[in-house]
Amino acid sequence: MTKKKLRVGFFSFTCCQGCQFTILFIDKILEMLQKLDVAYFHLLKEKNRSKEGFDIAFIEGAITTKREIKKLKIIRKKSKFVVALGACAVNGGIPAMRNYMKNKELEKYVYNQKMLKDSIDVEPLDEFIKVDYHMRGCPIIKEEFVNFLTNYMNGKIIEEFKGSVCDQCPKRGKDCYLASKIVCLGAVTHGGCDAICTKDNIPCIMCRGPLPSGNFPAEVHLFKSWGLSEGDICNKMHKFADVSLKEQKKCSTLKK
Amino acid sequence: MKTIKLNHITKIEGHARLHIVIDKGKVKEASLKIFEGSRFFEGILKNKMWNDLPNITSRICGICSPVHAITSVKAIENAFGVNVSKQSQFLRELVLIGGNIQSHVLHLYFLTLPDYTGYGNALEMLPKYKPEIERALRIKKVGNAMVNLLGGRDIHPIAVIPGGLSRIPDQKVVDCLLKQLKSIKKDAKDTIDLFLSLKYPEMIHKKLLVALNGGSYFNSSKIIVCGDNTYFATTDYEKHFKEFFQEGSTSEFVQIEGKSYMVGALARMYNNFDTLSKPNQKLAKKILKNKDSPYMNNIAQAIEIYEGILRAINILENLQLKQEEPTKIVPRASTGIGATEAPRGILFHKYMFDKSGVCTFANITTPTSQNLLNLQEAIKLRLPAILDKSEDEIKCEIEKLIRAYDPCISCSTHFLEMKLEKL
Repeated sequence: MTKKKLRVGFFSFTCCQGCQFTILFIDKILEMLQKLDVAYFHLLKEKNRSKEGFDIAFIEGAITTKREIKKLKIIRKKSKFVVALGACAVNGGIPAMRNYMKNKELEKYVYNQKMLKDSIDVEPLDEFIKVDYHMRGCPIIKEEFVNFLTNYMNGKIIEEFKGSVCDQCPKRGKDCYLASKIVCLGAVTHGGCDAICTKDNIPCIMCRGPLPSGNFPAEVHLFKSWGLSEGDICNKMHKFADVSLKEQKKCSTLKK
Repeated sequence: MKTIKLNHITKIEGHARLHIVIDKGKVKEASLKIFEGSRFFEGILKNKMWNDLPNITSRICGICSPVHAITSVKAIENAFGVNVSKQSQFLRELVLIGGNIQSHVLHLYFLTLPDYTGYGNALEMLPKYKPEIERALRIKKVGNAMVNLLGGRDIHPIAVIPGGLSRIPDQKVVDCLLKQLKSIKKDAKDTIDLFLSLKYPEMIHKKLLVALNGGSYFNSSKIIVCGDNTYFATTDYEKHFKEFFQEGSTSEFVQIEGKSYMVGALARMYNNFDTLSKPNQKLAKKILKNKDSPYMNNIAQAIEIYEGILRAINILENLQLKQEEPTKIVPRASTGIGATEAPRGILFHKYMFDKSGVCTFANITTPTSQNLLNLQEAIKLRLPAILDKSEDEIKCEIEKLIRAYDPCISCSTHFLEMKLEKL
């Protein structure tokens, strides 16, 4: 018996589209997509359809305008399962950094560029809709996407990685960055990336977002003891997530 | 009055809107009106530490992230007077070539080819064009491998840092890349043949072709050459390149001395002909005869894939890797400019820093914003020849032209729609 193909859509809000490209960069991508009914993929297709709804909607990008909220809610209504793709969709990502500057100030610095009239503070998807799976990272990891989709096609939904980046880090306990006073955010960051950055001698920059169980006060305390100001610490932690808004309780020190 | 609405121009990166007004059979207006949920990159860079900038700016664009990261790093090094080792320069050039291959192959086979084969997308093409699509995937895989193995990730590479690289790959990586690159030489040649064989619309649009000059083909940064015999130093770019905004649009446009111009593969080929390898010079001559046709940019991209492979093999075969630490950076109050040939043309990053290395000003000029005005003029020029066609055909033809410029709208904007009004 041939099973009906899953109808999927790929959607993009405010972002760099790197997550969609990551998907297109998967070696066997066309083979995979052929097993699906790709109804909506603006980057790849001319004729996109949304009428019949979607079994899975993959959504990248942060929400930055009222118009985007409206569109997002329509996608949710039409979809059985929603996957937030990447840091922007999951945590607000890089676009959310603008939340820390007053709109007027931003417009002044970026030549005479104006905010859209219906602009809002930059928010991740689950500020407005229910997200069924969070695929983290900036960009997402190919293997996780393949793993997720293969399992979903077999009726299984994989579990999101629960631990921190340290859990997979080869430097853990040996030559940890923190021991040599180098800012690394692995301990308070969602893991599951196989610690690719620390493996390449780059400290973690929290692209997979803040870990709810992470001990933020201890981390902030540690960085302060090295002489970092709160501003410095904020700049490090706010790159990919609106830490102070989303994780208020966890990092109350940062809010001050 | 007749109105044609193209709500989303598909198969380009990002979205924008084109407004065309036809009055009594004449093209009255063709303007790109772009509005977006801006990300205000230049604004958010302010007050950030120098070493945070490459991580942030690489996120300007998912498809040209390697070149954004590298240009950012160059601007920082320029500001703080840092020189990097020859080895680092070669490794970075390889990352750039990998990024160029990734971007070009995706644009040519997935976004452009369906236009000329009459299919809606690469997936639909698959049954009939299986060898072509498989070829594209093989080339793409090698481009990815170059960025991944040398830069640390396929997209948003992490290993290129101010002062050099965070880690030097071992010889195994070099051997592996050499093997992979050699395996796709024929694929790259076939790609050139394929894109030479397509039937492009005929069009003559005289324009300035602008590119960086004064280095290797993929890694020039010191001089800007525009048109014939006009050169100026990259550090003077702001004197000549003027950014401005069009009414109703949130993306910036750029002019040189009041004129529009084109950047990208075709402009590079025209201005850097001498640094091309011999076999490609022969091919380049062919298309440069027809350089006033923007569609030649597609073939120039195909030639660049092959050129990139040859250059990369050449670098890798002569590379004796040795472990080295990145040059130490000492911040100071200063201004720095970085310029690189991105897949779509010249990319500029300019930063100002205070004495502790905090960014006080940033200006980023992307290739797409430089091409927008010229693209708009090209559309205006193209329209009269196709006005008697059906609405669908007009849309199709305009999209072909837009895609020849390979616009990457996400660098400069979001949401492009097209509206055609016949008065």
